[in-house]
Amino acid sequence: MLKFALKRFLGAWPTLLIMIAIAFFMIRVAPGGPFDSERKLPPEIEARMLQAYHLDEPLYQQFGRYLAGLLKGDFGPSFQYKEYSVSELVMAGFPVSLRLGGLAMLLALVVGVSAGTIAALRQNTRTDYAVMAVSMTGISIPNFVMAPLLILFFAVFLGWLPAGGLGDGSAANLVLPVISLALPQIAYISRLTRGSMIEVLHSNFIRTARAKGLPERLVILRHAIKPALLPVVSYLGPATAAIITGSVVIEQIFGVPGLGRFFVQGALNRDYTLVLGVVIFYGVLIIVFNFFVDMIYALLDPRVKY
Amino acid sequence: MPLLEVDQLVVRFDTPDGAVEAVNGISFSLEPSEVLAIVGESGSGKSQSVLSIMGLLAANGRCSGSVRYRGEEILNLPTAQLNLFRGDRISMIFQDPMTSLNPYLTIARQMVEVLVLHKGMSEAEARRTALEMLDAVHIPDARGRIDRYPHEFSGGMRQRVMIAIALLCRPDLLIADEPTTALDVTVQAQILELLSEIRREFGTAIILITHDLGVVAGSSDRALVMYGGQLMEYGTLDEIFHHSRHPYTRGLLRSVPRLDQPGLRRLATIPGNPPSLLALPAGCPFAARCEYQEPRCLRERPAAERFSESHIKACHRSMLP
Repeated sequence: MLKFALKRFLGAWPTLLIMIAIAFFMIRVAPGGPFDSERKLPPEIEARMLQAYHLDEPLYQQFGRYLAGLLKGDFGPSFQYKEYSVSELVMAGFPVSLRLGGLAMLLALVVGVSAGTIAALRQNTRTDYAVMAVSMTGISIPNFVMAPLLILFFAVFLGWLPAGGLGDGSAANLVLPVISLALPQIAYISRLTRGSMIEVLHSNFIRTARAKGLPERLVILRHAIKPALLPVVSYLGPATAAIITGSVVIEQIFGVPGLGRFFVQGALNRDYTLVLGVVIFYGVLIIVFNFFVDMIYALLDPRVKY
Repeated sequence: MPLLEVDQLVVRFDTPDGAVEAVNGISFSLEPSEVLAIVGESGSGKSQSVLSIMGLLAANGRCSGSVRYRGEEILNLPTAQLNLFRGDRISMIFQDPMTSLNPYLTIARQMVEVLVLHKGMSEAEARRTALEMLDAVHIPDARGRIDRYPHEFSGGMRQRVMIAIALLCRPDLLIADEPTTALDVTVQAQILELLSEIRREFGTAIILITHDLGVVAGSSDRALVMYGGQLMEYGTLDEIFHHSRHPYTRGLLRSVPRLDQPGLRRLATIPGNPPSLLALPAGCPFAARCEYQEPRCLRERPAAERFSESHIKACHRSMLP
């Protein structure tokens, strides 16, 4: 186990480096630069600004300088929000995104697993078809369509919930963004759970459990739920990534001041360091999260040894 | 009173291709401590008949007829009532010990739950009883292995664990569905020896499902031969092995490979294949492969006919050469 952890820790660094390199050069490929604006700056001022941020150096040199900064924990200054460093912006946006994403993940797991289990237990009944139909819809409708529809219905027509912003940070403001973010994951997790639960319920050891005279409730909770959830555990890694990318869109639509919003603003403004900072932060988050998922997997399945 | 009386048991499965008639009216009875072997090829309905007794048929399975345990009707009971004696008075072990134990739970957990459920024991008490039972089925170093997971045991050891679980509540009846089919030949013999030992020591009646007549010969009192979901012949071991009145039983006996006779000879077989259970013939299911076939064998199904106290056969031919 310790050896596995160490191996994963060492393996994470090349992954991270490749990710940084791709992000660094890709954002530079995008036309325009951080200081382009409607009104052309006088050439000497522009030259001074580029010089101040070392943007006049050759790319490889800038890349080296950036990496050297990272090693010291310095993500550089934001080009757009001039009085903040990238670290400060990430730290300001992350708690908001974490609350949004965490709640969405929790909702997706609770609703997805329950709906999937119920559908599996009532396989080929109306309940099952209803759950699967809703889930298919959830997978098919992209969040940038679903979110405005939810706003239209619950905020505009019914007036039950605020249409956007965090307001005073009350729960009501979070309901719609969390639901929009969670819906595709609920859909996916419920299908996943249903499929694996049905498979597990047909396995020989479930027949043994029934032959022992265990009540159906115990058969499910003690014998079936753990193996049925293994695919869901494996999916937690990709789900996190999906919620992160989803939050980029959702935070923009609902005007939530989280990391995703900084990412979009950063990309639009060619705020190279801000975009890179967010990419690195999320990258590390996903790597760490996947590591924990592997650990959980080993805890659940005694046959898995690292 | 017999321990178990099965009367005109019928099992059917609804499939998209039509109804599969897996078991078509078999009857037998079992005395306490008796060992009955149910013999037949794959698809003869032997497993489905015992699964229906245990209420373990697949969701699309339906059964009818009557199964009485100590005089009480148990066929098609609601699950809650079935659970009062499943695993307690009647237990079952299965063909594939590799997949019949839950790979995610320790052996201890899988044993203790049975005693807590049926006997109301405390965890500690149940654990002690479980250890005793593992010793009784000859698991070496039971104390050191009870907290292990199934994948840490060999196939033969897993089947022993399955047997130990089945015996925890000292049931009156153990149903063993091809318990040795998935095991090595040497291990097979050990498991069969263990079953005989259990019957001697605990007085447990056993229904042994097998396709291997060798297994039947060594370990049972009576045998029931099934084909195409129907009873072909039913009698004591002596009647089945030495005085068989049914062409199918005789064919099976001839097909047992023999190493004790000199010379090279082809293995005897029964030509042809079993009928499809989706479209059973109107007459005797074995008629198409039977060397003694008569015109009426194709027209009407032979009824089970008793011609001695213990010997029953279903065949139109009264005499065989």
